[in-house]
Amino acid sequence: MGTQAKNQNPNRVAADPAKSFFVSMLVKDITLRDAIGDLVDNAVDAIKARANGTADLKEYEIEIKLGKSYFSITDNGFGMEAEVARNTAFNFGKSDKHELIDNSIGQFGIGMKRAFFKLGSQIKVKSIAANSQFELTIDVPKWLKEPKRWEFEFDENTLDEKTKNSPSKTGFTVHITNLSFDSKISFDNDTFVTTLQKEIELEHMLNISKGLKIKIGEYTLKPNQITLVNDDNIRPTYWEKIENGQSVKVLAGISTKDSEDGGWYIFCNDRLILAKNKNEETVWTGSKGDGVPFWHAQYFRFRGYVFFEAVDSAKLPWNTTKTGMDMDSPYYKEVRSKMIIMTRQVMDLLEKLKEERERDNPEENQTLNKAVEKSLKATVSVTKILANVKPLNNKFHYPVVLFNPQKKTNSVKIAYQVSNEKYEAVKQNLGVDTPKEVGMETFNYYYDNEI
Amino acid sequence: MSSSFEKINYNLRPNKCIERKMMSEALGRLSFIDHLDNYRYIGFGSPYFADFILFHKNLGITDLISVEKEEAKKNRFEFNIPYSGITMKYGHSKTILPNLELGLKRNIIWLDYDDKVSDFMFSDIHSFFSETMAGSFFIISVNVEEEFMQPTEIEEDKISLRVFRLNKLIDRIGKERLPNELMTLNMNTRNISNATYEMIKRQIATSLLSRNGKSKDAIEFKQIFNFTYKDNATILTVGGIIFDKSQRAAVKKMAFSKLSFYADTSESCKIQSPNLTFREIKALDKALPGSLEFTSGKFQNKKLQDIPLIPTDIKNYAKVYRYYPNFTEANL
Repeated sequence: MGTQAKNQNPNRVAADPAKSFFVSMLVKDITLRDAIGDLVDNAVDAIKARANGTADLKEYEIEIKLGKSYFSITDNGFGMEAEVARNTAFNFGKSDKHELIDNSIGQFGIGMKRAFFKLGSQIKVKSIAANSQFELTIDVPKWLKEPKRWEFEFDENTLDEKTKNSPSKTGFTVHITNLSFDSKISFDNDTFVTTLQKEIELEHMLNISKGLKIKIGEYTLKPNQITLVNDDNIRPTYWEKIENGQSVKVLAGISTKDSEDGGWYIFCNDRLILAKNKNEETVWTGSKGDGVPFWHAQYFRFRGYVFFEAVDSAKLPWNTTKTGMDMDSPYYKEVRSKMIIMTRQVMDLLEKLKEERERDNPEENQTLNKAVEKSLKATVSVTKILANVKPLNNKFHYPVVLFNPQKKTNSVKIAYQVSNEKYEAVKQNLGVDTPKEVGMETFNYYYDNEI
Repeated sequence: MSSSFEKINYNLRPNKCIERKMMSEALGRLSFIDHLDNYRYIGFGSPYFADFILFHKNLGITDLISVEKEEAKKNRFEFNIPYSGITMKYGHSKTILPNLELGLKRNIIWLDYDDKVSDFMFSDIHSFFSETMAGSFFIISVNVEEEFMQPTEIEEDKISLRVFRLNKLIDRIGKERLPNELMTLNMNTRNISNATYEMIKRQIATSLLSRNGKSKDAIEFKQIFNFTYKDNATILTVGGIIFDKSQRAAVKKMAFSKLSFYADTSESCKIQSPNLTFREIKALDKALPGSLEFTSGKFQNKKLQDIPLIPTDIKNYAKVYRYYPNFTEANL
């Protein structure tokens, strides 16, 4: 295309991408934190591909190092075959021939390259796969100087496509130097690093609890347990829809821990997309919206969990940055509608608990509250509940017969104001001490004499 | 605050009584889909249980649930349960309905609210339409009486009646839900009725849209009822059947459109039963069913000419005569 093409055909209009514009636009749409998240997602995909569906990920490890002058991420997944690198993985955007890994969370299309550019300008990739191995270096400033060249090159003498590597040797490493300004100041900031650790810990809680080891700096991420009460008294409500190649499972109920953990959690192929959600992206629209009332302290025990699974990750109803849901997707609309109803199911208990505590109901009479408190002492991990969903149905079970609210009293409260002088005079005359007594005595006096 | 059942004797609401009997006649046709004794009725029985008694007697439904929010008056409700097939559920409909496993049975629901249109009603519509088994029947009744503004002497409190009524409505349902083109109207009974009808219709459509997702086996709703009547406050009732593709032929056989009170649009069927003496009723009944042709100032039907009633009362009676209640004093 370019000038030559224009000369050949006067109808042709140039639409070549300008590399530097393209790169700067790509990185503006993503935060540093999400760029690293994308690389972790790719590593998790490679590991799951090697684990081939087994639930145990104990042998697998992802290690991230954040230095003042470098960033690196290493995994012992199945690596990347040279053929994949050559034809698809480094393309900008997903080509039609591109085949995604089953049940993946990374969507090679743009995430990996975008993350590279965001982090720094000297990128070295090293891959050892079952049937090939290679190294590849991207020198971004140099690459930008060649406006027409939309390709990279394997490093000299590193490509080997005749090798056979045992599964224990495969893996993928990215090492980035010449860090971007954003990276440099963030990696030097302990708060950034701690937040990153906590967020990845949440995002991959399911994989971590399956044994996957993720290390960021010197810290190994810990498994976060998501739990629900599930006993003879209280059973969560459950709904599932299983179709060819995709499924969704939804659980809602109550659990302990602090109120901060309350809300909805949505996972897509085991990756946490929304955590502790308390806004309209899930169900909390306010009573005048299409969902349930705004999140309120009385709901702090509420927990809802959604697990989307799809062999083809393009079918998952998340947005492209994996930071939220695709609100327009008919699939998510259908599931969200269920989530709203399941929230209402649990609210039936939460509202009764609140009502039982009202109107100075003596604690010993709050039989439903007491039963719930007892159940809350033994919560069960959600993974365990999902392993046997047979006893569950789309109804929230709780011992409604124990509900014992304070009955409305048959009395009326009277309030009125009088001047201090008159009050003192009546008080002394009656020989009592408090306004309450004055009120009672004067009322009784009228009642006794006039009625 | 006392409940409406404490203010009004439900047995003495003639138009409501007519509406109930009309409904019962339409509901009988559900047997084209399933035996009526496989259906469950869900309503707000209050202590009179008038709808429960009628549907049990006329339709033979034996599984009935009454949702009642006033747990405090439990003893009175339990005492008044007329048949053993009725189960009481205490709590607010918005959290009770989702836990009824609506998808496991065909349901006939009558959300017979005494209140003016409020946000929780849309939650209930959503809960029902998202879950209920195809072949179910839905009915909702809402008070659409216009708001009355207390005159005020304070200058800064003075607002127009239009603004007053709109604010009242927005307080209850929020701004988002009210269609824009209705925001400028004076919400008198006619307009609040239209607005309520429109919002109910939209909520049903939205709930079904989410429910159907991408599925080809879409669930549909066909409106059959749109009643308005006034015993004391004006009441709007909307109702219809929820069905899937496999039931389409059965729904056609039910021939709802042949019912004299069938209303599938925003145009409502008005129930206005005239106050008549027994002698008048007997005389009118003798002429019905029959022609109501009215030309050159009189009915063509000779039997009707001799009855000393105004033509409007006669026409209104003819619309409801098969359902007209007989109220009399009795020592039971």
